[in-house]
Amino acid sequence: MIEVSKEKIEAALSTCHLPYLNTDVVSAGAVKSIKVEKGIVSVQVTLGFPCLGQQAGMQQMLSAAIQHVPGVTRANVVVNWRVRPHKTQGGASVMPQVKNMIAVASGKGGVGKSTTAVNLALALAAEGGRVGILDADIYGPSVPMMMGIAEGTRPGQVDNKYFTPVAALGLQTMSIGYLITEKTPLVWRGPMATGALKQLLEQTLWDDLDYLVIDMPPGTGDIQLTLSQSVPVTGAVIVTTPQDIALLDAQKGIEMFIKVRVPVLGIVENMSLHTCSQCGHSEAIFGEGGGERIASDYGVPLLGALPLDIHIRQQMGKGKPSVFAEPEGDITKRYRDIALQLSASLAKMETDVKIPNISVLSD
Amino acid sequence: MNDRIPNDIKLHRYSKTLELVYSDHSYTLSAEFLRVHSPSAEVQQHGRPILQTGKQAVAINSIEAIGHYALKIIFSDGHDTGLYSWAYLYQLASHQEDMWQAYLQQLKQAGKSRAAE
Repeated sequence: MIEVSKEKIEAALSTCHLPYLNTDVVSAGAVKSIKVEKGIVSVQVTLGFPCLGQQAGMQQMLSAAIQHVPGVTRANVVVNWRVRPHKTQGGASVMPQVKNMIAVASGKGGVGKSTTAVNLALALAAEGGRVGILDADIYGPSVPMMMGIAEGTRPGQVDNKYFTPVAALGLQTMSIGYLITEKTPLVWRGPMATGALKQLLEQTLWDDLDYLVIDMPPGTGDIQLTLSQSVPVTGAVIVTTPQDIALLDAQKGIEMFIKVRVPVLGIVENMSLHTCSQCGHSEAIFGEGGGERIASDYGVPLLGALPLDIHIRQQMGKGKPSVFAEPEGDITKRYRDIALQLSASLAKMETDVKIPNISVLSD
Repeated sequence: MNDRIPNDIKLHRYSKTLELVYSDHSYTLSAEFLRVHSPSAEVQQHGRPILQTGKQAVAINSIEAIGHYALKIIFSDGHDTGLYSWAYLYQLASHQEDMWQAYLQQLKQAGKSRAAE
């Protein structure tokens, strides 16, 4: 009988490149344990991001690689995940119940930022993450409508001090829209608006979130700047359309995050192609390759491109975002791909953003 | 983003100094030096800085990190609008001598003093 060693198993595993990992499973440090008992090999792989959709395929692929090792009679591979919290400013995590905060931002309005935020949040949840969404777009809170939350829904209150998030489509949601009526616009000045948002974020009793997606107000003005400075954001995603004017503003968005040292995780290009619902002809109405250009200019990944598809809008209008309405559809696949790239890059990010230790001495 | 970030920032209350500890070197900056070189728009006035005078006795009441990128210093004269980015702090620390001499020169030319009037 051939003796099976752990080293041989490890060597076999190191030939396995898992999707979204960009390296093999051993170099990624994902192999937690290898047990060999007479030809029966048990391997535990823990990734830093939820990947329910890929789990079975990964387990199969790793098992196959192990079974090729001479002497192995059976391989039990378990792939699971554990999302790590990221340290934020000031050292300690400001919000212990939220592990990662992802800001979805755009340089200008009307590029589909909220649509992207909602679908991304749902995609992260579909992969098995615990996800919340905070609608920070105080001037046009659209998340409640997009998620099909009935008008007049109010969050629960605890001790007259905290809100409990509104549960919808598997997400924990909070929006300024819950606190005002849909028909009254908010006429607030900057400091009031940011104050209200910070309160909304900090006084919501988020329940053990892996990811909190923040739908930022569009633009790069005072509110956006203050928000990205004062809220412990782990990383930002910039949404743009391919036309030049939108790209120009997207650049400003990227510059703003660079300035406040929030890592830009990538760019999502919306409305990249329009497919005619009558004849099926595809056309790049807003131009081609814009998102790619700006991504390479700043050395950030282009996470994905979404077509200008009438279904995305129609489903959203009915309160059933694409990822929820068509879990097997092509649009959903794209959003889930973006979500996985995003969470995988967060998992790779250093857990400790370097922040000086501040101390006060009376000498 | 490869600017220098200090490992430790220590506020010495009594001696009115801020100590910046980098991995290879540490610097001690006086509250007055930091105050007169505040990056605040009030002081810098978009490239035409206003000469800060009479700050010899100024102290630092408290300091706090802003996001991942800067230090906010709250001075005893109420000035708290300057956000000192890590890069700017390093620039101040590494060019302290020259900048201080230049400041004294400017004071002299303006006929002003470090002492409060």
